[in-house]
Amino acid sequence: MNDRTENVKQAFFKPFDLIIYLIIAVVIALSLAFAAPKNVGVLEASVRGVVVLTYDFSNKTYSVLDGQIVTVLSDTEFRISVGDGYNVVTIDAQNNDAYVSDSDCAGGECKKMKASLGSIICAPHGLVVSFKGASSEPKVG
Amino acid sequence: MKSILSPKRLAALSVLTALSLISFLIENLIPSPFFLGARLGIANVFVTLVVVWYSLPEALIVLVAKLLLSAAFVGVGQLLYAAPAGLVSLVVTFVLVKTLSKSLSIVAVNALSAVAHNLTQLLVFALVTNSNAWYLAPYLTIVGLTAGVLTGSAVYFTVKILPSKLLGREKE
Ligand SMILES: [Zn+2]
Repeated sequence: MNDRTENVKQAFFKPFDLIIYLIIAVVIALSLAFAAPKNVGVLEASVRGVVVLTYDFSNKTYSVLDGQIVTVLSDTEFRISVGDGYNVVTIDAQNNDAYVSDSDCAGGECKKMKASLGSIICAPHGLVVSFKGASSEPKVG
Repeated sequence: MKSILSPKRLAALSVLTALSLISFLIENLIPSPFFLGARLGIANVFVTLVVVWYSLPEALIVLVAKLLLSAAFVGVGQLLYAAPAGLVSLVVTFVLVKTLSKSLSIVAVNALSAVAHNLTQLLVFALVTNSNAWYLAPYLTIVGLTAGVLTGSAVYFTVKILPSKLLGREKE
């Protein structure tokens, strides 16, 4: 008999479930071990994979690579236009950090992130702010 | 071989699709309880129920209908993430339920499926933006585990409580 339904009804927990939870624990451990970012002195902001702005913390200078997308508001504030929307990236030069101080993206999740934690990502806008040299690919598949 | 959906079954699938869509839309209105907009994924409860009660093709129909209808409400953009993640998690659920449901509980199956869902979204994001978003993998895995156990529990109790003949699912 088919019975997936009967099998599902049997129990809330079955001993072999432990294997599944073990697999998930291994995924967490591996990703913790290999996904940890390294912070270096140059921050990059990219839109859909194209770098539009860099900020060098060692001498507190910025360079705008795409003047149509990036508007310099001050030495530490940059407005990045993404399609119809925008994000304002603010540099915290004292703490070698950066954050999104303003954005009109749905959810505004990017405003809760900090570059020092790895990278800031704004999924709706395809914006990524991260330290240059931080690993861009998973080292282990 | 049953080739045509019985009216009762079609009605049940329509109700499950509607419930999936409505729970998605409601979850979409409420601010995410997690970081990065990660959600519980109550919509997935109904797709998983279709896998358990019915079959893979029917689950695919419900998933695709829910995705297309949700695009009409909240826009096409999210499909870039929602469609691959939904498909991957459906495949994981189906394979495990089909082959190992004697040994594994639906709660564990759903946990793995939710983890696969979140990591697929992260993979799509990393590919689209060519970014180093991988540092989020541990976080999204833990969120997926938590969400998967909760929604898997919902599937378990629903299957346990609801009589299947109510759903146009005659004895096979
Ligand atoms: Zn954002």
